[in-house]
Amino acid sequence: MFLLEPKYLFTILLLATIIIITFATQSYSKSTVNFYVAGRSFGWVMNGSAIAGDYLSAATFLGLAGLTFAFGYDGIFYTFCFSAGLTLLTVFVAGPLRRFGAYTVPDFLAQRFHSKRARLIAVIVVLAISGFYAAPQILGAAAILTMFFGASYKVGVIFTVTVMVFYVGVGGMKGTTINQALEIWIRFGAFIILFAIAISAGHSYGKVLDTLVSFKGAIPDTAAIAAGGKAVMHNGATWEWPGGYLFKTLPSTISILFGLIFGTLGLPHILLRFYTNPSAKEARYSGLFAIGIASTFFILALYLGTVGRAVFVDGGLTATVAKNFTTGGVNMVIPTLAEALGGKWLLGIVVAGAFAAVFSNLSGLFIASTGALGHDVYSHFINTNATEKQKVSAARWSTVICGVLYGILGLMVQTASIGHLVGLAFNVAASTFAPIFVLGIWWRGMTEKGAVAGMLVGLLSSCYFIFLPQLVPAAMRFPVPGLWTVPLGFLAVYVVSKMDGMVPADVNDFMKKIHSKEA
Amino acid sequence: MSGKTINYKDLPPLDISVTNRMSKEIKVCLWLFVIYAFYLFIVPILTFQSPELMKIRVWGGMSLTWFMTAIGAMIMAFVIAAIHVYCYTKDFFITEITPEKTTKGAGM
Repeated sequence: MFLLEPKYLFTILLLATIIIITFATQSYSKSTVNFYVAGRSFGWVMNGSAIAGDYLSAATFLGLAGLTFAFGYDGIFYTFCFSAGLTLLTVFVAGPLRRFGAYTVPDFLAQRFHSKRARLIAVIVVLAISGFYAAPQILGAAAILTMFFGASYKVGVIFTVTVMVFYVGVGGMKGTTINQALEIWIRFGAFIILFAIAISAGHSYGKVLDTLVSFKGAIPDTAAIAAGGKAVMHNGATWEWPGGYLFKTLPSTISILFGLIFGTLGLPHILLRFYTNPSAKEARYSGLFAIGIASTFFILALYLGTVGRAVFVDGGLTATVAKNFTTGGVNMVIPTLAEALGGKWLLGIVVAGAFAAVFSNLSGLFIASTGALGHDVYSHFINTNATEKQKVSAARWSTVICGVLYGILGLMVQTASIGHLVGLAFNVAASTFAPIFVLGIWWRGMTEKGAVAGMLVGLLSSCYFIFLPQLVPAAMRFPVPGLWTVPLGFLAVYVVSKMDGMVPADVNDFMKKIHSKEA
Repeated sequence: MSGKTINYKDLPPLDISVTNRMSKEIKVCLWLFVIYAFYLFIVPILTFQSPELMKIRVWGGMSLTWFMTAIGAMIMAFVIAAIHVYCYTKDFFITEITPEKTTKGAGM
């Protein structure tokens, strides 16, 4: 019976666990404080796991190993940049943000400046970042369903979105957090098992890199599989060194660094996780715990991407594995490597881990977007006298709206690279919310007009560089345009605030609230 | 909280204990950021500008740049955050309040 095949078995087990947790926590999502921030009840282990679960998405589980597999050093440089973000977030933002205490990211701006305009623009930015981020996650899940379960891409998208709407709409933040915390350990376990099997098979890091660096030429068995009948080529010297594929110059390398390290400071689904801790101290510990998990995870992802390339280059693979390595693009390296090293049981574990990665991250994005629509738009613009029941109902309907929107986006990115798309989401966040949070927390002189200008300049400049590269001079055209858009965002906030000069009259109370020592 | 605004120049000084705490915390944050940023930027700069140095094999087939990018950066991320959390939990940011100190223009 096909359901007893490991990939079906582990996926069904994961889905059953999600359903049980979601229903078990359903009763906790009947008030807004419980739906959006789980009653601010999570300690650092649970919330740290959930932050890591939110952060280590399909882009990490599938995308980063895939980028390493395909682009070598240029691929690992993505991870280098991703690894810095959580640290800066913990150092500059986590504690004060928790002391402020709110439901959503736009809440911070609205209450800092008492401005409906700032709230509305923040909602647009949240939806833009979440859209950029959600599309590649849905792509990841749909690609697995297509490659390993025989579903069409469209069915894969619909399935993923349906699971998410149920997961977030019914369970709220409580169910989402517990699911996320569980899911990070599922995929961590999958990586550890894969790592142990790779090491025991003799794939030490040094040996693997030696193989890859010394190889130059056509990869065996790929000519018959690749489109056009041309064998896939590997040049060790190019693969191991920067500039071979993506980052041709030092400025383009620095540009992605800017975009990704500041990006985490502005990711709405990560920022709002700090609202769920009971105190600022717990928020900082949560951040540190998440960094510990993430750092280990990143090291493993890069190692496994490298091993995947070495196994591919060595040849002698089964027909299915060779086909998946050759045609699976940059996103399916981890499941294919699992199949190559451990057969169908390891593939089953890794597929469940990949779904866990997608669901965990997508649920965080759904919560952030649902909050933006249900809390910030409905409760503050559409029905300002809404009852508690109406607010929770609005939150649930917002989940459905987000599902439809993100499903459509997922259908539009079928052939894109997960890791790169997430890089673009980071760039938008780095250019919009990062300046707002860093300056809003540490500088009394920031004004409402400065905040609005910063978000608009950051968003529009990011969209310009990403969607209209043909209008950008060649020397300024980078895969991730952070070198231009991030300083523009910070500058816009600073210059407009200086010119405006009118700060909220109660800004001292605000600063006292977020910077005082906790009782 | 009211929705009124005030010119930044006319803003009353911030409470001295908050000012002290903020300035001490931001100093620590900025120092950690400078050290971390130095590491983050020196890796690509040296890789492009001093390839001979960064191509040195440090572990098996791993070059110095590969090691600093794929392993060193992750260790660095945790160490910097751990130092900050340590300072925070040891109340490192609390300073004695000296009432005679002026706080004009404080709070950055």
